[in-house]
Amino acid sequence: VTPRRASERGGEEEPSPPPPKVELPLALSKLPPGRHRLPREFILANQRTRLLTAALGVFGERGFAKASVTSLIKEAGTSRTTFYTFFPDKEACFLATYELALEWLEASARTGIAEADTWPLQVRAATEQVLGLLAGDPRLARLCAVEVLLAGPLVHQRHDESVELAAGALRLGRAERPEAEKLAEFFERALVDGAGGLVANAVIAGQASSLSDLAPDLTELLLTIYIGPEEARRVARAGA
Amino acid sequence: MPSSGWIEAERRASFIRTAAALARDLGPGGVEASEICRLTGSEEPDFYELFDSAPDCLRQGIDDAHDRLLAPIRAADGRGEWLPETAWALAGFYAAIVADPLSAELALVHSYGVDRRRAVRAIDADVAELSRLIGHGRSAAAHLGSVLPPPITEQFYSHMVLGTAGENLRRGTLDRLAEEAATVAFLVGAAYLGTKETARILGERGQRP
Repeated sequence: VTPRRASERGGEEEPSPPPPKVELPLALSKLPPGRHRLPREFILANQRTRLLTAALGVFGERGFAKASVTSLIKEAGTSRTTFYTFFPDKEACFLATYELALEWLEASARTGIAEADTWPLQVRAATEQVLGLLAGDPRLARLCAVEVLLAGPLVHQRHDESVELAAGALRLGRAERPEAEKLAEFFERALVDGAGGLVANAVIAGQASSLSDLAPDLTELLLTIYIGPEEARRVARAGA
Repeated sequence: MPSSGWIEAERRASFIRTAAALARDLGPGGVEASEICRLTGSEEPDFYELFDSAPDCLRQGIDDAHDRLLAPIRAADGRGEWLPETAWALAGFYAAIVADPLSAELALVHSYGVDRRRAVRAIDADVAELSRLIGHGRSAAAHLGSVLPPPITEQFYSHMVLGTAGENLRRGTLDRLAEEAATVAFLVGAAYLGTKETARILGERGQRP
């Protein structure tokens, strides 16, 4: 038997469609070569943003394991030196991209929450917003739901914090039902784990663009324990 | 004197344990056949008698682990009362993780990095097995006249079971699993039977979180 290198893995990536080409604003575009008298702060911000934009595409399409610094700088149109100015390694770049993705998701969820006046409606709005954003960009969905579990310990730690943030928002539902105060602290984390698993499953099955379809059922499942099955169904499907 | 079959099984288990430990410390991409042999004090031809490569060794370890972890779920054949049987099966699943966390981590955390397609198939099979058990809750709910939960309920709770296990393996908080097993069982029961009936049934059997 001929020994094979362990790095020659048997797994193959699912082919994914190429991302749509978009016109980038100047702040995100590759800068013209030569002297251009742009402020250093602008150049640095431009380079970092281009790297993060490229990272969303590379990590979200190839996955963390198959992405390389070479592919990241090629996609961003920057030099290797520029990459290492901002990030010590691939995991740090992934972490920065994930931080940015979480900012989008949290801002989107907060927008939904601000427009709802009761806690159950806030859960519904946040669920719809987050699933809508993920469905709108399958690369973002893969990065946040699947690749985050395959990256390194720093990313896991940040993922853990985001799970706890979502669990904290659900925990507010204990005020809806007095006996819910007695529930184990872990309760809401389990609900978030279930939701995360469903989303990851849909992404892996190539159904990221249909994630919004999950919103009514997922909302009902998240609310049932706090407001009962009938009311949870009514809230989840009102106006649907 | 041990039989040659026993020796081969022990040797195979030793290679897989070592590969799983390397995958935990270095990631699946860092597992090399030569290092497995060095750590087990074996010759490489002995390794290649059993496995095609280091990834093959990891793949066999992943298959073995899924098989072992899901045994308590498969054993719940639906002949007993649904909720207590489900609670026992889930407790058995989490106990199997605590009994051999290294192979559980290989199967539930690192398997995507070894062979993505195979990992997806294995997790799908786990979800199907868990969904079969959890789905018996529909008959119990219908019997009680409870509102039937939405169609994705079984998948949601199956992923909750696996996700909870994965999170604790990543964080190294296996001491929490027994309590969390009871909490997950309570949540599963409440989805079909409501919180009061679930608390009553699990409380009578000392299975309440």
